[in-house]
Amino acid sequence: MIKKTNACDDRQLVAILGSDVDADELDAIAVHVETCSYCQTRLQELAASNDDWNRAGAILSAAGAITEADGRYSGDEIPKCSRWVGRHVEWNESMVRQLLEPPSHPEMLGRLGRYEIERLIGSGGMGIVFKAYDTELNRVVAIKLLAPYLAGWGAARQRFAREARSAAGVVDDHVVPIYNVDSEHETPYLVMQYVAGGSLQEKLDRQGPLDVPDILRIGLQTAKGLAAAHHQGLIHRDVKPCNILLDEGIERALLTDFGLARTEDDACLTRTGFQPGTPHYMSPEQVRGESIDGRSDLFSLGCVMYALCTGRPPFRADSGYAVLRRITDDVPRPIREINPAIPDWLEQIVMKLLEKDRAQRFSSAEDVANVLSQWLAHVQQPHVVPAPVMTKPVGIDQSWNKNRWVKYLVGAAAGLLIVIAGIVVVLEAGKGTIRIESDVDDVPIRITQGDALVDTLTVTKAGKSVRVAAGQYVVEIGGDIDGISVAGGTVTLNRRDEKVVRLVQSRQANLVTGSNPDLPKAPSGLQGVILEVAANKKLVEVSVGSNDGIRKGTALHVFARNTLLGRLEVVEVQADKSVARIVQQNPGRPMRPGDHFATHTDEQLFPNQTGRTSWPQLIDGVGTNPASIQVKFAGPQGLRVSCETSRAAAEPIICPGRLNLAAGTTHELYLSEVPELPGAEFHASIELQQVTDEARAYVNHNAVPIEFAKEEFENALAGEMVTKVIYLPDPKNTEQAIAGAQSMVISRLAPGVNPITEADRQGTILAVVRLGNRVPISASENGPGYDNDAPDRQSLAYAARQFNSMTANERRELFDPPIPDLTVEQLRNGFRQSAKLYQQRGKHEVADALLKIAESGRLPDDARSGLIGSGVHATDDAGQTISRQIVPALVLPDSSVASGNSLVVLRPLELIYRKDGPVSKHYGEPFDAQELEAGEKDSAAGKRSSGSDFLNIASVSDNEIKLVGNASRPMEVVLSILANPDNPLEWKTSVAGTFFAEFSKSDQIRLDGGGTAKGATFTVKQGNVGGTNFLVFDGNPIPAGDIKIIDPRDSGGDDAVPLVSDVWKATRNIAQIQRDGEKPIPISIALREQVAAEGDQ
Amino acid sequence: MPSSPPETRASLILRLQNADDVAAWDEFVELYGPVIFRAARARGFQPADGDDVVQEVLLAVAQSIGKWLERRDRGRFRAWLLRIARHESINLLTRRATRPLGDDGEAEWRKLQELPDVDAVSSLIDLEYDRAVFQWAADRVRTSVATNTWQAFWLTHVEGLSIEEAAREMKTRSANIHFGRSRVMARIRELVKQYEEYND
Repeated sequence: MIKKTNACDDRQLVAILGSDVDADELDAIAVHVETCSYCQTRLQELAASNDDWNRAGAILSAAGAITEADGRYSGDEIPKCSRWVGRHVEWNESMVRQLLEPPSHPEMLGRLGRYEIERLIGSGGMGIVFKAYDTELNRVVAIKLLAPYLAGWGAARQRFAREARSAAGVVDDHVVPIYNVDSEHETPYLVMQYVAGGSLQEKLDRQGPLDVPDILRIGLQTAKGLAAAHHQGLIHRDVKPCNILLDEGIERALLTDFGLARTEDDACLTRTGFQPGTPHYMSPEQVRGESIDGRSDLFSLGCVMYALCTGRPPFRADSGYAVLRRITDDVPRPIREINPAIPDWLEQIVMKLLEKDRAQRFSSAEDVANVLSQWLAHVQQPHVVPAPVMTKPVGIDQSWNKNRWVKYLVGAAAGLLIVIAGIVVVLEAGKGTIRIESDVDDVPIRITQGDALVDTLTVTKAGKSVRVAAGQYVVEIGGDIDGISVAGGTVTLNRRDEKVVRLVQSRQANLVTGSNPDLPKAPSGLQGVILEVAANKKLVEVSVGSNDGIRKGTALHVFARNTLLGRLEVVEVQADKSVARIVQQNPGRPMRPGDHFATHTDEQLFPNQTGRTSWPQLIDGVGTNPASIQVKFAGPQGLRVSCETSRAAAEPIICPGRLNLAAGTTHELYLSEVPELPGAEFHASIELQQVTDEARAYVNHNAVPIEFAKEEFENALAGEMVTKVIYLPDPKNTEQAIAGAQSMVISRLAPGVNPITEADRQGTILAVVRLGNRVPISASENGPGYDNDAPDRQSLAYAARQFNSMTANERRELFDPPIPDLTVEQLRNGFRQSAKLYQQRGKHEVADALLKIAESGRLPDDARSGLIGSGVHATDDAGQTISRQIVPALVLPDSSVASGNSLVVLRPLELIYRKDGPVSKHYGEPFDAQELEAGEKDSAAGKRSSGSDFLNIASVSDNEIKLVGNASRPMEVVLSILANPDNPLEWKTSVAGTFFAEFSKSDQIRLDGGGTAKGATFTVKQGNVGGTNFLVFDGNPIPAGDIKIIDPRDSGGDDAVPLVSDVWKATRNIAQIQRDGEKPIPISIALREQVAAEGDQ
Repeated sequence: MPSSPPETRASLILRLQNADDVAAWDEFVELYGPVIFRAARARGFQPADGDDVVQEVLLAVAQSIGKWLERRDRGRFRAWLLRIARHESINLLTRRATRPLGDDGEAEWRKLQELPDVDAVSSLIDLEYDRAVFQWAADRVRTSVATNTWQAFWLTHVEGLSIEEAAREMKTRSANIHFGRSRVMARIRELVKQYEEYND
């Protein structure tokens, strides 16, 4: 009988559901529930509806049954989808009250040992910070309590203890001192000095950008704190405004939270992949998980100072993930664009701290502190303390575009005939400072006094300050630098004075014809021919002159059959003809009389182009700033597309098949790796996505298709690279260029034309897409896409270099330690080895070509590609590494296949790394010639196989096992079905090379041994799918259930080379399944030495 | 050759700019893989073929992500994933029924005679999805509560012991059984609800 009594209280029942308290502690209600069936039922109802209870019963009891039947997705496995519930918990006072003992005073929050807790100051991912009062020592302290849900987690406790140890070891005015630690407490805590002024983050939130003296002071003090930590060999690793506390009143900044701090030699801990809290202040090396040193903290300090200057961190995006991307790839927006009140030198200091390459940063925190203190002294007393001199050139890459441009300019100028050599500035100088500012980078300057050379220096855009004594000085621009002039002319310098000399770019040298409104406007669409080429090959006479509107400086573009051959700049004008210098030309096809040219307009320049694709402003108000580019394509085998990003700020280019282009790098995707589409029509579509500074969602509404026409395909196959470049025309300033509505231009370039330079002439480049059948012009040697020296591309040395640079990232990222560079000798051996394999496969044409490569040390003229490589990291569902590979390959002509080209994979260079077992010896050893030779000797002696042999299970299903492998010499494949361990069923066949075994239909095998696998029959035969040879055991299905593949190492086979692999587990899930009531049937496969195997029989 | 799962994932990670979306994908694969697999098994597929179906659905979904990214009005990634996966699964499981993949040739032949029932497949998928979410929630609760709490629930509700039997077996008082089983149930229900809300 169910009856409600006065003691029945729903509220109490609800409270019980929400707690985990044992019944004994709830005695009254527990006793009541034990006897009151109303409450028993009610408790059940409050927990869940009847439906839910029923569902729970049904599903959970059924789960067990299905588990047994299928052996996976079992109820015993805990799905690893915890991420969505692992949300950050905000602590409030009522929550933390529960963690504390009751307070002695009612106005206090609680008590923790001898500490009276006054209030909650803050909480983060790891812990909760209180303001408290130490009743024994009568002082105010801050207490940091490890979050209780972490207290039971060993790693967190360790980290907490480490923080205490680390921080306690650093004694400095600018590091928050640790008073006490209790790591034995149920929830460990540490006691620190209470710093009253709050964190720098709070100040930043309150008042935005700070004043210059404050920025310098806080930067200086933080640098000092870091210097003290670094002195102890400790890297803070989490420098950010929240971790810099400000002491009220006495203007002191103190570094805190050494929770992540690690000693420099604590290498194993730096790679845990644990990414704490806010990533905005992480260094690129931290993001990449590389080893870090104190200079990582300097980068973070740079981020902090940037935030102090501008009110926001330098790298922002809509997700933590995107922030990380930007940290590694982007140059932050110049500080002075956001806050013009920041002086140039301060921006330089911050940008130097923000250098991606740590070698370019300051060398130590002490150095930073020194520089900042000098400037602080100067700022505070400008009339007493002179501005410090920047002793080292500060390399700032804040405007990628301009730098590129200038480098090009200087490069081009070297070939000039008309040289305005050594613009001379005569200075009457008292003792004081000459500051030389420059519009361009890398201008060599010579300062002489009379005949004596006083100083030589190189001026960058950062400028230079030189202290000089009284006397007459001559400042010259050293070297043949064209187009640089000095603004201001003669300068008289007084004692203690600072005079500025500006080096400006003169207009004549400015080749940006389209974008500079001051330039003489060349008539659009004017065409002409080259009349004569000077003997020095540097000047040409052209058929147009001032009558046609030609001016000095006009750019002319030379064509042959719609491709750009090169570029001219008019240097001397007559009425009906002009002299122009050759700015650029294709080394393979020099200009000659009769070549046509046109003045610079897009239509003229690229008459056959697809034209402009408009780039409209979006309806939803989100801008169209392209920050990332995707390239999608598919096409016939043997062709290659390469893409380049040119903007440092660009997000990587992404292509299917893991093509991922970080800024300034070149990757390639071989089309044989993507599914072939019917008709083999080639399409590349470029999508531009935006990640705005304002943390807006990305957009990818803009798709710019790049089409390659059939003839371009043919050209590419014939060895003529087709290059198309996408750019925003006109504005030279990247920020400007991407700020507004733009149109994009896709141009096809002539071979040899540097697309970067080309686009730079015309606007802001976004992407370069190339179609060709040769290794592209190296990105690593002369900057993306341009190749001054035309190295011997056919040589193996070049191929190795190319391969090494192409795979550098993968080798670094996939392997630890990274796989070293491939050497020419290794490569040669690789080709030799592959030649044998292809010979054995009957591919004589390919084999001959490979052999020739090995002997001549050169790739053949008709090679369809350079040496290419790609990296793969395969993991299983649990994230465990299955294999890591760097696979070198080459596309060679092969008349035996329809496409005429074969992708030749250099087997011996294949690196397969498995997480355990002997095969991991390949790890880190791209190709070991000695081992190979030793293997060959061993082979002659009938010993074990060499390292290049392998045998993999390609797939397993009910009725077939596919094997793929390689044997460097005649060997046996042994398939054993170990139904009866004492008498395993074995089938053997001889193999050599990449599997080419001689099983035939007659190899029928009845699986009736051992009383387990009844009546199944296998036929072993060979097959070839997609160029991969395999062995098939087919016939009647193996009786229901999967097959467990047992590693022969485990089965105790002596001479079995343990090469069984579970590489395919990720896709095929070869789980162990029992047949009804019987033991699993293990199968092993092995490669064995034939000699040994024969001896067995 | 279709991309293998690690590659699919890698390319997805690169395309999905939002880390939360990547997490959503991982969770989706973990949760939905079993759904498809069980549904396939329930339709008479062999385990290996069930795996293939899972692979194909996941691949199809992965390939559609590009289309999703292009959509201006795309909603939440999670919700979209579930919709498209359901659609693809139904599609494949009904289409696959016309291909000889069954336990034996004759069984398959018989299946060919029956036109695939889309409604049946879709309710099968829904059922399996509910089940997977529920199972997932239960696993989470099991690992988050004390063993005894879980046992109180498991023994009485799944293994069918009475309260008293369970209390005897666990050597505890019956109130702990009452409390434990309802605590577990309440938390499972709460998690399921949260999950559904989060994935809407």
